[in-house]
Amino acid sequence: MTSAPVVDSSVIRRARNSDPQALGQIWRAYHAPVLRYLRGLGVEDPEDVASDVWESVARSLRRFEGDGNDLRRWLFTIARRRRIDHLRRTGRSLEDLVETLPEASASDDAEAATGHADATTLLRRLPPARAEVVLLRVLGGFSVEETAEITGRSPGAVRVMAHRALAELRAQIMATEPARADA
Amino acid sequence: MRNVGGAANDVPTMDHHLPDPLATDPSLHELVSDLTAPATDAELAGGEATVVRMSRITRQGRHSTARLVATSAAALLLFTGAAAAATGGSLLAPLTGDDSADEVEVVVDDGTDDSTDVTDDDTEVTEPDDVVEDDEPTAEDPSAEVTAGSIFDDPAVQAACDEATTHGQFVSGIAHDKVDGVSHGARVSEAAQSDCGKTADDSTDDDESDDESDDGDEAKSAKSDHPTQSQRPDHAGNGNGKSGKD
Repeated sequence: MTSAPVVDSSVIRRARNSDPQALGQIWRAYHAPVLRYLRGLGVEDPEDVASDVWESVARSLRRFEGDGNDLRRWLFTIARRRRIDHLRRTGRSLEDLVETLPEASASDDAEAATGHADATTLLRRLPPARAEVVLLRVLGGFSVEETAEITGRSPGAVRVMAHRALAELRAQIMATEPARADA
Repeated sequence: MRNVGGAANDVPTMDHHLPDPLATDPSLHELVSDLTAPATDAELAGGEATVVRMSRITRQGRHSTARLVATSAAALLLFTGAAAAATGGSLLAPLTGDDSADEVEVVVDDGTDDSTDVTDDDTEVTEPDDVVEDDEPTAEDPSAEVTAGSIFDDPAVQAACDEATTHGQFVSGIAHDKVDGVSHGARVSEAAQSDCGKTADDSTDDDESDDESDDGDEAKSAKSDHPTQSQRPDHAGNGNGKSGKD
């Protein structure tokens, strides 16, 4: 299993000096994981928010100091913040952000019924905070401690959330298995 | 590492880099594979334009930051010059031993971490006429904010916002930056009303009853989330913090 790659420090250094090639390397390495992170959390316009993320990265990159691991963590932190900004702009209430399960769309149901529910669909059915822990662990390749740092939670809380999320995901997957077998 | 009450024994250990159910549970294999699959062409569409834009922004940011610092220095020069004229002496003298403008340039160099950019903008410091000619709007002028635009139009301010670890730190940074032609009060007011520096988790704390996050954790996290904690360079030029792994 491969998570988001770690960019070499020399690439970061060149990117800080506006080298388009280095910036492109960073973008290619992390754009898809960021996009999937946003999609998995139910962001309606993941491309727009991802665009905001890269704009923020470009604005702040010159002041960034650290290695590839730091960059990865920094980038997902920015993605997390831009997502929250987006939710605020679109008028979602705080309760919506943390408590409301995203409503399954008709296409989600169709996918699930045919056994083709993809990872994003499954994750969107989790409470966002739990889905986020899974996404950061898988997409970012972050340890529990790193995930805890990014989300501002304790490592213990992250473990509990991951445990619950995985149990729910297993249950969802098992529920789709009969449909898959019939197909 | 903190304990999560009695639930800790039931929780699988997930230490580093996925030696955990995410990597070993066959029922989750497909999900993990989906998420970690190579980027598709659709996902990478438009990359060239994005990278060009990023490159432009990074270049603009370098120049804009230097300009912001230089302009602040010019404002300082004007202020001290005016005050000195009013008192019949030089306010810079106690600080620099000399009241020449050259000394102010030294302050500018200390205030930035990119000396080449500052060199490009040095002329702005030595040409205070640019500032004098501007008819600075007052806070009482209702048109001031309209004509000045948002402080976030300035990439340097936006960058400071993105990196701010506390709201107060961000507002303080703006309060210490006087920009010619713009109402200082309006700028500080806009900064104060922004969300810059407020932690993301103000709005996203989970409903988990066993989530032990508290304000202390948030603050600690916000700091460590940012490998660069430099907001605005301080007067000693120590604005470039570093966190994370070394």
